[in-house]
Amino acid sequence: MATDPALAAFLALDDAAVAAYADARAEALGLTLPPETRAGVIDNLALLRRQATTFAASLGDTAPPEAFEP
Amino acid sequence: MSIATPRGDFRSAQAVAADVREGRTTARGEIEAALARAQGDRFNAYTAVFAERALAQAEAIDADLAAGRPAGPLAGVPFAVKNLFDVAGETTIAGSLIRRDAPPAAHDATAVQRLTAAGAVLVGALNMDEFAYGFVTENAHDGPTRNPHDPTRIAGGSSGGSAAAVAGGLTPLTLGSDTNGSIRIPASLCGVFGLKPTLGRLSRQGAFPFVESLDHIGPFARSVADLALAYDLMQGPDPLDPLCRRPAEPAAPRLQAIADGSLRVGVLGGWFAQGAFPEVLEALEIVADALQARRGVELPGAELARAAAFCLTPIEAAHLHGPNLKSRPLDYDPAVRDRLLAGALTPDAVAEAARRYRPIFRDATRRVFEDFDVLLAPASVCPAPGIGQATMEMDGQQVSVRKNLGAYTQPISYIGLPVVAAPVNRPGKPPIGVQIIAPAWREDLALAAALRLEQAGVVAAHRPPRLAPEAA
Repeated sequence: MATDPALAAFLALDDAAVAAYADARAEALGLTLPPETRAGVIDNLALLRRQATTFAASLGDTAPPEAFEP
Repeated sequence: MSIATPRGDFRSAQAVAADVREGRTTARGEIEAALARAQGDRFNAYTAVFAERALAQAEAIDADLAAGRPAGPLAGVPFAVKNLFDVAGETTIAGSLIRRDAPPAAHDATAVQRLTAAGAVLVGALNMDEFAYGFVTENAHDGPTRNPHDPTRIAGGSSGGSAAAVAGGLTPLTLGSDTNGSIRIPASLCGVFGLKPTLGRLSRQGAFPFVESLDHIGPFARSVADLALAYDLMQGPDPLDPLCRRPAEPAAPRLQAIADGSLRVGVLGGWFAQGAFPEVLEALEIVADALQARRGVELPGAELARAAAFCLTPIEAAHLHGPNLKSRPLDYDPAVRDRLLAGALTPDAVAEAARRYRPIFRDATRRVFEDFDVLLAPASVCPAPGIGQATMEMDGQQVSVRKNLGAYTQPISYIGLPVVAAPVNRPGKPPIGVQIIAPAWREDLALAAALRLEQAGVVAAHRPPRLAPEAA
């Protein structure tokens, strides 16, 4: 269960809501999505959301960030 | 010994060095021939050729040898680098249009400096996926690199030019980078050896970054001995790369002893067996049999690790590209642009979660390595797809080629483990490679297992059908 509000909100989207999320995020970031990019960006964003749900769900609150060493 | 035919030269780097050192050829002759091959490149591997610099160094090497001065273990050996490595006086384009008007690099990248100091001669820069984001080297600006074994097929990526140059007889040694599989996949699809060392082992200074948490550099070669020698020559701490702090631990002198000893080998199952083409699994079985490997070893969490690497990549990369994504998004390769923009829109908390999963998966993997010295897995899900091929069939479903070629490599680079990509010796068949994965900082184990396989004839660099045999 994600406790970070931004992460929780992103993970809670369904694919149909990703386009509106992308537009709102782009506006907030001052990023313009040219028309020829929009469909591809939304497809990729939806895929990222689906992938993120897998590992984020496994983390819990007990995995602290660390300076990674192999 | 001919230096080369117009079609190519398939000698090892150390065979070239021996020919120069023992006076059968000269450095200048070798470099002139390598430059001619680069200029006649039929695979679109090269994007730049550095003739003036290369010939000047070759003449200096010949002068050193004539005077009895040491010239280095790779004296007179041509090499080339993925075009994200800094080369003094040249613009580092990193496969992009956006960087074509960037100022030239002031210095060579550390890896280039170290190979040059060993006598190797840089002859050119090599094609890649834009900003190293891809597995296909179908670059929108420089065109696709063609697989020397079948020019209708991709070379793999993102270091596709680096693999094709070695496989196609253009040069015996190249450098590439690997963030999610970009050395291992092209090595596999082109039938050559590639080494992705432990994260932090080789300096990335002067290599244009893609995803700093995951970026590695490493060599491509036609033999395990060449791979190990090049790796050893590039080792050692670099104050200009904060991750590269470890003292050099030369592997080459120890490989034969390790290869002759006992190796505990496992074959990864689960995630690493899902979706693979039958010929990929057949090739893996050949290697597993030769190493008497235990089958079906589970790496818990591999699928989640792949997903975490998949998410971390565009989010972190988008930070590097933020200004250009805002000001000139249409100057990016479309296949890269849409993924970077999606990364820019994804909350940073996703990347943070991906980083937090890393030690969990690393620790699970360490536990598996308590019972094994090396683990085997396919390098790619399939042999080289066609140029322009968008989809392929995995487990009965049509899936994106670009998004799935790295399914088996991404979990391993995510935790920075060393891997040798070794080409399975299947004469007359399309190249397929296996990953030989070792615990962190134990490149020697992966290289030794590859050496044992090479000496048994189980893995070997593939000579493309059009290369004249007399060029060997």
